[in-house]
Amino acid sequence: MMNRREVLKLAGTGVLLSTLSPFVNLSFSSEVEEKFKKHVGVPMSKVKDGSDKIKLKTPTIAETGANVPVSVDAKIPVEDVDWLMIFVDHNPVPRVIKVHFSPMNGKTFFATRIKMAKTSNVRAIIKKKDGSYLQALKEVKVTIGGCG
Amino acid sequence: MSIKYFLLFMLTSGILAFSFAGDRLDPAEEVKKQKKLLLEMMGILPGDVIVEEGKEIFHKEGPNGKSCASCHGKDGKGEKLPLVGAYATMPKYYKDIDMVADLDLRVKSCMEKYTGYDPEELKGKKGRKIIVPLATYVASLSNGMKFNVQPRHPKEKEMYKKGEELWYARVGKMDFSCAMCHDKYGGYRIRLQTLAEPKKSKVMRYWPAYRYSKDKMWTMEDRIRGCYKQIRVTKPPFYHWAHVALQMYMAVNSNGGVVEVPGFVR
Amino acid sequence: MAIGTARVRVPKKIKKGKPFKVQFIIIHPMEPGTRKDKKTGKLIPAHHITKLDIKFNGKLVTHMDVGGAVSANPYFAIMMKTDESGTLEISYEDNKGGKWKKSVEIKVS
Repeated sequence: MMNRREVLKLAGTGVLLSTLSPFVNLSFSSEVEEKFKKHVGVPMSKVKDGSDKIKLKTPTIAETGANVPVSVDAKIPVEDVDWLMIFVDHNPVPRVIKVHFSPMNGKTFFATRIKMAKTSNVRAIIKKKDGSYLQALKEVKVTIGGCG
Repeated sequence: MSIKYFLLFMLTSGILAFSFAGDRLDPAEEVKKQKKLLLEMMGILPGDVIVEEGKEIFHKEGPNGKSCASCHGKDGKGEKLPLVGAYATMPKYYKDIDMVADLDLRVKSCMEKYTGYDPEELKGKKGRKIIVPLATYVASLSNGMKFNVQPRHPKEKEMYKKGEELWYARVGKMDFSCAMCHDKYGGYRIRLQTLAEPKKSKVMRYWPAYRYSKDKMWTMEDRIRGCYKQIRVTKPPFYHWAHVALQMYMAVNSNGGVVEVPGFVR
Repeated sequence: MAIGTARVRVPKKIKKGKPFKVQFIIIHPMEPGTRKDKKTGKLIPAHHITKLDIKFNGKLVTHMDVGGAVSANPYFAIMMKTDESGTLEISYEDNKGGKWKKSVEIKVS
């Protein structure tokens, strides 16, 4: 039989721990990491955060997963870019599209509409010609409609 | 001793409340941004391509050698039977078929009577592949014009009355009526989807519409069938009078609205 | 709706050497192959665009490896720049042997 003090101690620690949960990335599954490595060619750890250079536009919540607009506008000269990939962590096939640019593109820009199976990170991954990788990512929450 | 833990508890719940308060966006408002972003981003909409397909069908010869353009003129601008502005006055009574017809039924009956199409080929889902783009094109010929449906013929008045009855009738396993979701609870949410208010938005002016949750062009008949399915009632077959009646009711309630076809809806 | 039909949109006034947006839509079901038929429970076979090439006056501007998760009736937008006028040709194929081309004229001022 626990006395009141012990119950309070437990409750307090529980609440304290739950305040830390937003900072712990619990959605990091090894399955996503494996698929990432397979499609991108390198493990996640090799891809640097490029969110200051890559402007990724998506909605934060989608009413339907059938048509999620995605646009990528990167401040990286297109002559330095090998390819751009749109990768959706929790799609059955995460690699959505791979775009190979040429200097004739003028700008590292791409836009399309994608299908999302469920709430997931949407990543814009750029491989540069110097062999480095950059990405920007956004979580898009996918909801289903009210009536169907 | 217990005061210490009490204070600890208060402190941590305070931190909790703070950390979640920052994340509070109105989800219903956020969800509307998907459509906004889609429209901002896309300089061409799938609906535009389907209208062009309808235009091609309009000007192509049917099985008997005549095309829609043979009677209605190029781009529907013929002198005798122009189609510019026609959609904004539909549903309407037509002497040649002796009934009130909505867009879908009128297009189908014309194809059968005047351009030689076999009714068997145009039946049900099969015929939709050609009727839907054509109907969308015909409706788009009224773009920019105001809806003006005035039931004058006794059959038109009868259709309006029946449409009004259907609108308010509570039917099916769930005892729903159109009015329940779209009048009483129009503007409210089911999950994150805001219920449409067809009378307020003058719905007929932006149908046929491209539904981006299904990537399909739907006419109002498709939409009505979909609605009945969702309230667990047998869908009225295509071209049934129930479609004409409901559309007559909705069209009169859309009077004054400017036609903008095709619409772009979830 | 005829599968493979495309519509391209480019700006009316295109300046020499200045990047401009090329947008296009293709009518295609883009069936990913991972969806199940609600009535039969069977998987709907994949039917989607797999490759897309954008060429200008014969030179390759952009190549895309397209997956089934791109939305149906897909929309694509890229930027392009050129010093000369010419023909922009978009060619694409799907996994069922469908092959199509769509060309537009680009006039530079």
